[in-house]
Amino acid sequence: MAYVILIISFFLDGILSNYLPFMVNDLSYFTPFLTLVAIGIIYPFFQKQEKKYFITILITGFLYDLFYTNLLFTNMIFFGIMGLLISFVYKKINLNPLTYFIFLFFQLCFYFLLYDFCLFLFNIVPLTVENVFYQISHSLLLNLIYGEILYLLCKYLPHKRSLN
Amino acid sequence: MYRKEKKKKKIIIILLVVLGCFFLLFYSLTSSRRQGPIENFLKDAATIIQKVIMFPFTALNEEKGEDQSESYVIQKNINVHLEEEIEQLRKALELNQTLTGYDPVNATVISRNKSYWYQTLTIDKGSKDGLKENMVAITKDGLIGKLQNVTSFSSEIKLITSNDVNNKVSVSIATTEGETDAILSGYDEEKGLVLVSGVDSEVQIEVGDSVTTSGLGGMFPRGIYIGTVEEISNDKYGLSKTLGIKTTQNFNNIHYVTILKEASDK
Repeated sequence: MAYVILIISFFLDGILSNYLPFMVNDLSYFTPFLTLVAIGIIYPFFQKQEKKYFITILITGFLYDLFYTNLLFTNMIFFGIMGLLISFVYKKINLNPLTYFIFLFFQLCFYFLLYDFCLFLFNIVPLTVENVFYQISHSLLLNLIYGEILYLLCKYLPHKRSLN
Repeated sequence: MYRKEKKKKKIIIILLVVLGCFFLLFYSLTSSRRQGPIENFLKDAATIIQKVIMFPFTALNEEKGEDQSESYVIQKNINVHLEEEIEQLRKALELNQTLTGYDPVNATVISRNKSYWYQTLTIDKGSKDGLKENMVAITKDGLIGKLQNVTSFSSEIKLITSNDVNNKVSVSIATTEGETDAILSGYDEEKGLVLVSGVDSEVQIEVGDSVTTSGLGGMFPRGIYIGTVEEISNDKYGLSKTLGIKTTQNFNNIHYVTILKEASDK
């Protein structure tokens, strides 16, 4: 099931982004980062198989770069870092639809801040704080809705393994 | 003692991993990075999968792409410079740098770079179709960018809206007094205007003047339409002008492109 969610989210991400604005400062409020949402959702499916989880998300990150960004290894590393954050949160916090919503909000913010911080650090593109907040604000709506739907779907699946 | 050693070893490994990630990030985030053969091979495989996934959606858009035929694209892009004039110049100077010296290769956009800052598109044509790096990408509305990272079955288009320092294009502005050359140097994200800098402040430029590629530098052919002057501003010393160019191209809605391949590159 985890792989089905991951594959659907991965390709849906690509299809949707082909039909939505992608110019900086002209982004849609429905900018998709569904793969990022999916790697958080699938964690409970890998209970006591953390190594397998991390291998899965690292491969996903590698493929994400190959398919969508042409930045070899960048998202592999970021997804790995996100995996550490997700693993920590699932172990420490008892998640329910509301807490998951809040967690997903911070997960998305953390990803963009991390990404843009690296771009700023290596002086790759001229970035402003407004640009970063613009990107974050335009990425929340669709991804939070998608994440919440996936969470509720997974919660009632018979093979779902919960850490809590 | 043993536990202390183990802890020390763990810290060293973590530090090495962090350092490795740091260098890997620097390497991969650099836009001028050259792709290796393994990456090219994997990219080709990804392109084939993407083409299959995107097929139902691109098929739906086919009608929109019909007007991007060879003759239409060429006619649209030379509307500023008369065809006869180009022909005469070409014959007189034995030039091969006009649009008529190019073979158009039509391609479909299969993905956009999800890292928005890079402003690149991936198309489904590559070196197997005779494409090479730095070839020009246009649509019916004019210039959109140039090719980079060409693999066997795919290529990446760096859009002119990219604020990359290496992404400069020599342009020509058709004024009432004649033509003047300048450099396309960036993009104003807030206003949605392509920026042209280095225009002599003495030259009289008016809003609505046409901007095309000048052909200088040899990378871009002469006469490809870019847009019209929308905004004129002087630099703080009054030595040169910066122009804001309004393009008719909707960069958010590019699904089909044409690559200009030099006729000798067949």
